[in-house]
Amino acid sequence: MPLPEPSANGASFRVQDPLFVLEAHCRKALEHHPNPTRSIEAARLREATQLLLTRLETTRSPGEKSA
Amino acid sequence: MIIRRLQSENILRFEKLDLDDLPARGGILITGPNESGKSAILETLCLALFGRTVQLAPEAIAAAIHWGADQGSVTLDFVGPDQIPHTLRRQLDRQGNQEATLTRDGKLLASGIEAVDRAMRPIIGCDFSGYLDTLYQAQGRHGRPNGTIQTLAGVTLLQELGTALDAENHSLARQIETRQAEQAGLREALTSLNLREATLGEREAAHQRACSRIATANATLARWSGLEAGIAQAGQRIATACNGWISPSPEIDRTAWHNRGVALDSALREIESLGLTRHLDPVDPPATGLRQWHTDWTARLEELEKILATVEAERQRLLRWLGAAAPQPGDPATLAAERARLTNREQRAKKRHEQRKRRATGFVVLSLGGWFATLVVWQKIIQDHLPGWVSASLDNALPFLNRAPNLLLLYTAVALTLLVLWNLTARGFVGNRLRKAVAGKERLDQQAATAWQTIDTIDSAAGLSLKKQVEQLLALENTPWRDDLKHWSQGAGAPLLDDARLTAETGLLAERLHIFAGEQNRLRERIATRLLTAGQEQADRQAEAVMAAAAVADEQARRREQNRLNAALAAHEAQNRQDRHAIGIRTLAKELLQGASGTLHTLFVEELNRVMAELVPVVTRGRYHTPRFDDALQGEIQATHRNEPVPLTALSTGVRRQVSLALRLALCQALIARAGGDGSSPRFIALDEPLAYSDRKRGRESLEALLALDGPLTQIWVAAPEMEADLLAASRHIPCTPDQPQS
Repeated sequence: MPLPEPSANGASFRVQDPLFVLEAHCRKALEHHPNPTRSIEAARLREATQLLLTRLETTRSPGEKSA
Repeated sequence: MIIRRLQSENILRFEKLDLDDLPARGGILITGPNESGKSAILETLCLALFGRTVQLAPEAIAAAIHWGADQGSVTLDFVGPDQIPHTLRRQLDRQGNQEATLTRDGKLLASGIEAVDRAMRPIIGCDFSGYLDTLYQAQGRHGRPNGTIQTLAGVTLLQELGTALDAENHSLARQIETRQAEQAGLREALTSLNLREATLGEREAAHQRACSRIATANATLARWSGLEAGIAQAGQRIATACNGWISPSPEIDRTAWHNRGVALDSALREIESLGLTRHLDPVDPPATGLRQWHTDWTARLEELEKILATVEAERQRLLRWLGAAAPQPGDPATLAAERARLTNREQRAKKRHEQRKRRATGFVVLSLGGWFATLVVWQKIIQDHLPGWVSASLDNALPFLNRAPNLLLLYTAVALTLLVLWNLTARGFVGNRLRKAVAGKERLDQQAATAWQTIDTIDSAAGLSLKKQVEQLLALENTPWRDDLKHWSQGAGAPLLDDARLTAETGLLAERLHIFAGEQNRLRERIATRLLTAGQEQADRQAEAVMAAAAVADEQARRREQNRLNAALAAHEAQNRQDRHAIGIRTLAKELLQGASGTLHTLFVEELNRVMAELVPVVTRGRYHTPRFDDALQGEIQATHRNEPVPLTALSTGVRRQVSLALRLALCQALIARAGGDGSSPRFIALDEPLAYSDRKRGRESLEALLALDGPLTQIWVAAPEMEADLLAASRHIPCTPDQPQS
């Protein structure tokens, strides 16, 4: 899945949402795994991804969230 | 966020500062010679925003108070991203104490340093460090932004998360180490327990055996106690029963004798049922003499009972014969039936006797008539032999005789005579039967009277003493029991009827009772010995069971301790596995974070290069374009006049200032984009002598380009020694003098 369009918020500078980038990175890592559905490594990868996304979603302040 | 008014009192070099009616769009140009207070205004603005200044350390903020004053204050009126007017007021004194309040549309929004800083953070969009890197550019501060790039790129968030994961991993690793140390202690404790699998079973079996022995000892003790109580109770009952015999009254009735026999028999059965010969082997059966005496006495009574049963049977038979009781099958005819039969026979005999009497008269008359006729006939036959006058007289008187057949008359007379004789004989028979019936009834009445007398005698004797009862029964003659009763009274029953014999028998009983008392005492002594032994046995078994139970409890406690240690070990091991798994997951997550951080940083630099490609030609008036920054914000820039890339380090100081200004503007835009909001809210930027190292022309060009930027940076504070009059006229001008700034 391609990265979402960066947020500009009226400014000409467009920034990436770390959550989206992290999610895309994790998804990419999982998709590139040789056995993404059944292997233990893939399961650990999914668990690590879930841990990161949950932490990032809960720890970052609302102002930092993507519009 | 747009500044609308800045006021201060006793802050920095100003005793009083009031910058009012600040424009929301355009430049706010602060001019003046050195030491005139240009930078102090921007420092005052910084103090209002963050409670500190660029030049002073936070712990030395009291130095910001105007010299000679004890306290100072700064008030900032601004329009927030929500387009609502806010007022921020800070006060500080010489001791470094600060107070701050923030109101929104006249209402208190936050109070206190920390609360106000927290409230201002999203309004400003960055912290103090980010402010220095983006919204504020001071003279001599043109280096690369430090952590702000990471923050604006969004990497900081991932780095913080990575740091938190590292801390968690470290904590988990320490917990694992701690648990492993505890596990070593637990294993050592398990080894020291030195449990053997079969020990508990053996101890429980020993306890069961001890409990079983207790039960046996209890049963033995209870048996001996019961025997002791049973002997005492039975002895008491035997003594009581025998006392009734030893001093008897001969006037008592048969039932009383029987009841005494039953009482003694019951008491003897009680002691016999104790099974003393079984429990106290060898021992002679107790009270055998008394039992023998009772057997003999009972035999007497049983013999009497048999005779009295005959009496009662005869009484019942008489009652049934008399009709006073319901008849039974096989009974002979009752008195009433026999009386009815005899009465019927009497009546029939009377009736036939009367008939015979009447018939006898008729037969006599007819017989006489026949004989007369026969005589007449006979006279006619013999009339020839009769004197004449006799014959004549007969003929005259009975002329018809001469016409009668002579033999027929003779036969008739004979027949009538026979009838008379037969009638007379039958009448005699009937009379005899009548007399017999009357005599039978008289005999029945006599028998009934005798039967009633017998019954009355039996009934009256039953309520008397045994002696008088026997006497009355013997007084009845012709009874079926008389011989047996007489034989009993002179033999086996004599002790019950004769006082001397009775005294001898009770003496024998007393003697045997005395013997039994001796037996009883010996038995009680033996049982007391057994009781003592059984009590000691019970105490020993109880002590043994207590020790066995304690051993079982101790082993069970050791087992529980073993289970607890094993459970703790298993729990530690499970928790260690879980923590190792968590460490692995966090390490993997950290790798993912690093990869994502690199991606974010790369994307940010690419976007920064894109924005810088728009800004650099503007601030350099087209002399440079297409900058290429790397991840370290180092790189090169394309020079238009040389048509070749030039490293940033090779640029002149003035161009580097311009590029740095463009970079600051790009970062400002990144900050605005990162801060979020509606995207259209205007913002201010403060530039403290940004073009100090530029020549006049280049400085003017940069300033014109800055003021002409189209974007959210609408309010641009610029401090410079001097500016062209046309620029000043197009902006809000704040001239400063070394003495006092003028608003």
